[in-house]
Amino acid sequence: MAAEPRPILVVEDDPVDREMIELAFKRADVENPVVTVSDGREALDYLEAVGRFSDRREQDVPAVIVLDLDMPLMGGHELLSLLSTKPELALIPVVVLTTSQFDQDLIQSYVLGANSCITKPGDFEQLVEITRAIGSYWCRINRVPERR
Amino acid sequence: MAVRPAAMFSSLSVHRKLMLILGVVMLPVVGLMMLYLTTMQQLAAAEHDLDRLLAVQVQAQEIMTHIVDTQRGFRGFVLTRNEKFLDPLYAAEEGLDPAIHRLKEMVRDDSEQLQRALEIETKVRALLQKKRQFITAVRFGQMKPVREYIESGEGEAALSRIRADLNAFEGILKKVLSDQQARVAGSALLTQYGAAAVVVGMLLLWWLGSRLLARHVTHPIATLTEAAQRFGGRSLMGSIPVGSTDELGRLARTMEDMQQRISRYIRQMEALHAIGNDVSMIGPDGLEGVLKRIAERAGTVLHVDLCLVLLWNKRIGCWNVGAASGDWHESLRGSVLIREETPISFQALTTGLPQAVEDLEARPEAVLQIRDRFGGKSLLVVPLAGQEKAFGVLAFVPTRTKRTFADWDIRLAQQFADLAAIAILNARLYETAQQRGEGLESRLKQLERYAADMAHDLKGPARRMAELASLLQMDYKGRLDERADRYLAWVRENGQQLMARIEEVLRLARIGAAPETVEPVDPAEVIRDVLKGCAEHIERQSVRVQVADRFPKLACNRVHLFQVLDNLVRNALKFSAEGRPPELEIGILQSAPETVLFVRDNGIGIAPADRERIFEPFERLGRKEAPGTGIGLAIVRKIIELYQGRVWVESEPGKGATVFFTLPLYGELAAVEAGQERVTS
Repeated sequence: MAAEPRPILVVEDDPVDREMIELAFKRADVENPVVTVSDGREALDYLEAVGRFSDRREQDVPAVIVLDLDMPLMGGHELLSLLSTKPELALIPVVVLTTSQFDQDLIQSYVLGANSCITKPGDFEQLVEITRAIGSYWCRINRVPERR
Repeated sequence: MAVRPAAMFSSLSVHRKLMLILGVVMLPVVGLMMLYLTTMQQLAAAEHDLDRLLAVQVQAQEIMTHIVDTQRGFRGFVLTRNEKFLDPLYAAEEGLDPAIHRLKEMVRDDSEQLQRALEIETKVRALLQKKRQFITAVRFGQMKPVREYIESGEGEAALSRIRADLNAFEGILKKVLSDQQARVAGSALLTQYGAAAVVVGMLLLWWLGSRLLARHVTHPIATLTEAAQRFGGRSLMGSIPVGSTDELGRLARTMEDMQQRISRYIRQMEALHAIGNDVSMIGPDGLEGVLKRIAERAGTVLHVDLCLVLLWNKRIGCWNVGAASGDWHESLRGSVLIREETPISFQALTTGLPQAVEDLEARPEAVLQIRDRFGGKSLLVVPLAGQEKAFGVLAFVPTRTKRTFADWDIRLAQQFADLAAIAILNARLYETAQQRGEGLESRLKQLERYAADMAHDLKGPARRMAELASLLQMDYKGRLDERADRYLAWVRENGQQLMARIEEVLRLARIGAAPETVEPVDPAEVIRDVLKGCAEHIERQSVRVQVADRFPKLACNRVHLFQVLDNLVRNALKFSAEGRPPELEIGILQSAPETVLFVRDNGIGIAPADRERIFEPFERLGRKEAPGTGIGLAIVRKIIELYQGRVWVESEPGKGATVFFTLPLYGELAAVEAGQERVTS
């Protein structure tokens, strides 16, 4: 079954980071398309296919959400807690990719349902390694139920 | 009637009592002396009489002898007619006159005896006259009448009569004498009995006097002494049982009064002290609560209906009512009184002396707030003064009846005001300090948060810069010239350094920001982890590592201990000296009262001047090219200080350095938790 790979949703407010992450996924040869949004609210719009994303296809539910924590309007933690209240969205794996090195932030992320936490590296090569790992693990190895 | 003399006696002064008692005891002595004197006098008189009597007897006998001599001479002459027989007669005649004269002299005072003496003299003279007539007759030879005279025995008879008279005279004298002697003997006997009676009487009176003395003088004095002693020992005698009205009684009343006063003063002082303590407690209600308590307590101290705490407002020159007792408080608190309307209070404020007014109605001032507004009948105002000028007053206002404030009342009020002033000043200081402290703390917190936020915000751009540089290096390597490649490498390195530093700053800021769990930690295990982390470095530089065999368990957060040891070990490895194999020792000094861990190296060491500075953030000494952010030792110190421990360094430049630090032992856990609570809360 050569199903069309589901997209990776990157939630990141900084345009430089957004582009770098996108580029890193490309360099890592991850076949899944990358969708970028700039904050939690937009991410929610995409996930619920409303507003700007009202014409999102049914099958384009992301395989994984790559989430920054520190964002205006709606931060990562807020989005995580909202997702956990929505059964149809709660099972999408979330990888937190953040600058924050505080244990407290990591603990809270896991408590709110994050599946993985990664520190932004400060080196593009390492970033490529990370995106490759995400693509390989969360998009290919990891399994989620088809019908939710 | 039986009681009256006793009552009269007890009403006498002590001086009179003593005089009376002495007098009574002296009385029989005086009697005895008088008796003795009388007896002596009588004896002397009797002696005198006896002497006289004996003299009279001698005289009488002399007279008799003379008469007998004249008789004999006369007879001889008559018989012999020889003149020489007349010689003794003449001699006797010559002696007779003076003898009779002496006799008369002797009895001159006694008329009866004098009479007898005169009779005897007459008879003697008559006899002698007759004899002379007969002698003359004999000389003229007329013998017959003489013979007849002799034969008739008339001469003998006359002689016998004279003798009889003399004897009778003597007899009377003898009787007088024996009477006299009997009287003397009687009074001597009386003197004897009298003396015995006086001795007995004196004993009786002595006993009576001593009883009186004991009852009215010594016993009351002893009672007073006892009362004074008991009062000195702080146990009070309600009344002193000395009931007399003399000096001692008055002394007892005075002592009772004094005791009552003193004990009242003591009670008041104790109450004042208790109130002072109560008033100066700074509760959650702060200064306002202190003022309110002062107003309430001041009222009770002096039993006054209304008490006001007035604070002088220097800036606008008026009174602020700090507090008032009872229901007045709510309506008056914070209100303002005008200076001109409270002249008495203002006087107390400016003079710093208590002002008492017995009758406010009598004051001429038209406007007296305390009289007109609060219905004060009298007023006592005492200043509230700190070390300098008065800053307010306490006003005691009886509103029901007029009252004269006694000296003691005023003193008590002033003492209370002094306590109150201290309490107010303390409460003010406390509030100011608290406000300042709170302000400072919140500002510090704000700054810390600001620094952390800023660091956090800086971290993103630094990371992006490094990432972009690395991306450029990757994508454009070889396509630019060599210089551009080098610059790109620098941009990336600097960006990464900046990131690392910011991370350290954030780590430092985080220590103690959130409560950490204190647990028993075995330093040996932590050291093992730390060395594992540095294994590569140790191997590369072939560092000789020495770790103590045993460590006591410490009471701290495991991560904290890891951070401390990790920073110290990395620091030691970092500053190794060139030219000798690096050594690292981690050990423990177990010296009471604290346990000291240390990390020793044989590196470049630290100059004495820098030994404090190295614990400041970003103070990197020695080789500038050494890697690191310069914040490691600052993190160490912050963690150690979190546990109230100490960290210090000993070093000989060029020979190595040893960093010592203390952390609480596991046994001391409880003590640390208390301290931790204070740090993290």
